[in-house]
Amino acid sequence: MTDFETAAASELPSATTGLGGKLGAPGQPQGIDNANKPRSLAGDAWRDLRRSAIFWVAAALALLFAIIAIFPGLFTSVDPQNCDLSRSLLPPSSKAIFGYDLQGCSVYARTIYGTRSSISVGLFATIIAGAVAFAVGMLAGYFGGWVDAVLSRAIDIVLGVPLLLAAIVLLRRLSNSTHNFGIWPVVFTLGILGWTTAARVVRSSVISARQQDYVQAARMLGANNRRIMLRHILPNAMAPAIVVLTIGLGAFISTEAALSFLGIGLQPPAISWGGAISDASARIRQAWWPLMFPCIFLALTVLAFIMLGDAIRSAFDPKSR
Amino acid sequence: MIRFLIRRLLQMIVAFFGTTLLVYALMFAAQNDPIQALVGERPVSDAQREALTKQFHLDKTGFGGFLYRYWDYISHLLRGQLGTSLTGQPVSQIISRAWPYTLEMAAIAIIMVMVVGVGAGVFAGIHKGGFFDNLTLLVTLILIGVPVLVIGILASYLLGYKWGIFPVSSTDGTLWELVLPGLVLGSLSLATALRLTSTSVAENLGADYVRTANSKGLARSRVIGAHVLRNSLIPIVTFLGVEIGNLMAGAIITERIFNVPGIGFNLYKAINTEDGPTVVSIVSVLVVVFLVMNLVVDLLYAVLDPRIRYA
Repeated sequence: MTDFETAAASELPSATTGLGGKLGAPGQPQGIDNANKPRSLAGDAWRDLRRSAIFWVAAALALLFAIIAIFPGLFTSVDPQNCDLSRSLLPPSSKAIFGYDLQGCSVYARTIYGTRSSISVGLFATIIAGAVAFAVGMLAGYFGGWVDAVLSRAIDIVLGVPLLLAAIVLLRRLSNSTHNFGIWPVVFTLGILGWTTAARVVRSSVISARQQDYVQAARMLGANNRRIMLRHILPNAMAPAIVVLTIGLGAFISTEAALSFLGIGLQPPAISWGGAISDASARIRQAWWPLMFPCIFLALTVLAFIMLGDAIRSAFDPKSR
Repeated sequence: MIRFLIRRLLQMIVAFFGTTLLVYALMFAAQNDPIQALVGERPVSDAQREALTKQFHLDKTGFGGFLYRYWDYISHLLRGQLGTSLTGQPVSQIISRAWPYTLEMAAIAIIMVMVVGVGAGVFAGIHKGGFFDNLTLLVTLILIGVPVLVIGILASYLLGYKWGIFPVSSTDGTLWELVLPGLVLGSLSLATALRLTSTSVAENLGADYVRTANSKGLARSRVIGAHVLRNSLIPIVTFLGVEIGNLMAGAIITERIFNVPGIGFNLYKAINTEDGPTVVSIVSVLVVVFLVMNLVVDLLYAVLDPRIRYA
């Protein structure tokens, strides 16, 4: 997550020069207005964000879960794979504050270590989806014509199958081998199926940036397609795509939990919230603690990323101002 | 209108072949032994292997063979022949038995979305920026942000086990048992519909025709009921139509949580028993439902909004 956000932050200032024309879609003059004012659109957005309580709560939660994912050892010294059947379903106590699950593993330790799988799946799937989305959206938007027609139909087709259904079919295929590839089948499946919304966003940003004067100027100065795409158009597509991808990260974590809950996501010995919820929901009459704590962590993580994306989007949306 | 209809139908045909090809390719891509993959981990006898090879036309090889098999699958799908599951039961029979549960759940969800979502959305849109509007913003954010899995588990634990308001699993298939699953299923759509309605109503309240109606001296209830609401409903109808398709997919999780023997539950069962033919058939049917709903919505949109027809 951190790489991605720093990348976004470093691109944001350069994005603003072109964003004036893009975000105020009918507001071309508004863009010129903005250029004369000392405050840029990103500056405005940042001013809005700083005052938004939801943004700070979401950012703090996302940061907390990122730290838990990177250094789970800081939060628990218990080995999550250290299970003892004699402790099966013992309620929360001072030794294990979330109690023990059916296998006698510490629910707290497993929930903490589950953060790493969930965040890694979300992060890597977002990187794959983002790469595909930028490539497809950039090519379709920049070249137009038949390239756009073919790529846009491809987007329609992938969008035509609900993500969960397509993921079930593909994962069944990938997990049939005898090897255990850990999180990678899930990462690959979500990444390869979940890029469509972001690709549409990139495409429309590219189309509006392509018409700008500075792109014409760059072309007349002899810049080739690659340089124009990477230096002049890409920064414009960055901010809106990052928003969609942040929300997508939350959605990927949620889908991973759903897949693991259905028994086709992460396979043991990988520790996953969805798997824990599935195991514990069968024993709900006997014990609520193995069920509730993974649920709370899952809900807060997904909520954090979706709130973060939502807050940034409304800050960048001039209509909401 | 006719030209729009024809163009839309042609697009739908392309999308149909594209999506079914995608599902089919996903199902049979990157595998070494398709027959072993089909039956899962269990051993296959020579007789079974021969029968399956013939049944699925696996004796034809290469890309031509793939297209041939895809065409075989499509033509069966179009004729409504969904094949048999690995236990020998016709898949169409499994689906027709499970269908009513999922449909009733989806109906409960849609009714809730229309009554609560649109109702609260109109109220929030009229009082934009007020307390109720801000409250709905927060509530919908939570409904959108918390996974349906967690909402379902919490609802079944608290409202079902703990307080005993609703039954926790569907045993004799009465409508009452499907109310809680239906509400959980519709929670995400509810939040989206509420936001959509409130934005749409707030936008339309500032339109010229509302100012005209107000200056004519029309009663406020008539301005809102007859002018604003009718124009605001166009995007919501579209949303609801597309959402019916999404609800079918969402039902997999909800039905598993509440043990409702609907389409999603049967899909889950088929996945866990490695029943390949049933998985592909159910997913194909769901994809077709999704595509048809999209088409219906587009046509409805053209009927509701004349601007689309002549565009």
